[in-house]
Amino acid sequence: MAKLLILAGSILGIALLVVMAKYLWPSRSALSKEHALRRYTHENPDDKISQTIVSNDAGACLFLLEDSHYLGLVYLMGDRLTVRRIPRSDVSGALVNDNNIALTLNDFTMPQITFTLDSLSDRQVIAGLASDAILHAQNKEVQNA
Amino acid sequence: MPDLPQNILDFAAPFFIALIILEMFLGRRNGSVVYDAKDTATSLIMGLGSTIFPALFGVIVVGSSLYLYENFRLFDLGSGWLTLIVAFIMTDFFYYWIHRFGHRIRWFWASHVIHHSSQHYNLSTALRQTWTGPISMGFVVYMPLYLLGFHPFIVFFMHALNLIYQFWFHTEAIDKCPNWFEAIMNTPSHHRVHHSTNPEYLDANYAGVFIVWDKLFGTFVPEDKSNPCRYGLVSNLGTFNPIRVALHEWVAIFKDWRHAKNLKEVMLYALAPPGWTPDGSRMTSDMIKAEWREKQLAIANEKKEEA
Ligand SMILES: [Zn+2]
Ligand SMILES: [Zn+2]
Repeated sequence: MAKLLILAGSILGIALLVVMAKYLWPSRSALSKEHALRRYTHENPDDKISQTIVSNDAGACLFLLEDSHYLGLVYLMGDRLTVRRIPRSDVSGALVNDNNIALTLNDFTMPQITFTLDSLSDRQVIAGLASDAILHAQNKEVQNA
Repeated sequence: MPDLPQNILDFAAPFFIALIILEMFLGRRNGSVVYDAKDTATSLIMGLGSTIFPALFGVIVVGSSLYLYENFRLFDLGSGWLTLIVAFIMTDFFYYWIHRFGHRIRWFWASHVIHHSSQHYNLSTALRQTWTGPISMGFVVYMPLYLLGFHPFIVFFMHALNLIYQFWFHTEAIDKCPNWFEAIMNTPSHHRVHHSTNPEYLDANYAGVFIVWDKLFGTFVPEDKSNPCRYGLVSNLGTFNPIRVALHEWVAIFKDWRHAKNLKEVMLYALAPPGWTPDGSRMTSDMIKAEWREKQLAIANEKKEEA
């Protein structure tokens, strides 16, 4: 019984603190292209960037690199940024819903990144990454057969 | 059996909550503290889970410790005041080593990484604790204490006290403590360095209560205000999902094992420092530090040539 009370109290305490954090630090974070670029090149100074795509909701930024085996990603995590350089083969698919494209990754710590994009060409680029992944998977199956 | 409460962490919870509220109000006023709702939720859920899941392994931890103590202890040190004081210091000494192994051996890191997975450094980060500690088996490091004759319940109690002490210094609201205190004790300043990913700060300040262990064993690095701490992991997480946070390094170990070519690689994927790969394609903290030192040297040489 005492354990249950402690558990209930802890859950209430967590709820209270999360509400306070939200109220005292209302999230106004947004990712600008310049900021994403600065952070990415700081961590990967040798990469040459060929194209930059920023999500409309300013939550994610994707860099196509001259080394086409890799992709650069800067992703808004609450009020902080997560910067990744991932092998292109880690893209496992995409879920498209109007202007939203959710890129799914073979990465347990970053399973999905959602982009909201007005530009058709940007959407095509992102969808292209996913179709590359599908082709890649099919090739593997062919090789295994 | 020593008459010491074994559930003091349960009773500490209301004080933790009260201190977080205090830190929020004081820190927000002078801008020294930042919380993010999602990050806070994950940290606190990790904290709650850490009181539930490891308890499932309690029988193994308690049973093996008592077995050693009952059958193989060299002395019976009892539970007098002197024993309790020495036990507190010795537990902190062994905690230093558990923590150091937690950063230098990937099998231990798979559990400890959770504590470092927030990009924030505030009192909620203190509660971001592992769910899988008993799987890493860091508790075996305390076993020499049972063989010496310290009752396991004394050690468990001192370990809990140690963790309670560690709560308060996870904050940016306190800059520096008095010099004498900074010299002996672990403080917010020392532990900020420990949570930082700046190359100069990696693998430093493993202490629980007494910072003297780091000074003795060569792992002490003071905070340098001209080099502000960047908190988190070398490769930060892209998820707040507590289950992914809890298990991500274990999943990574299993993924690596699938590609291991021989038993040596299987062993090294688990026991070498985090980031180790057979071909050096990922970076260990030693490699990051070496690269950083090389860069500094090149910059210094350039400046010399210009002069
Ligand atoms: Zn640590
Ligand atoms: Zn800590």
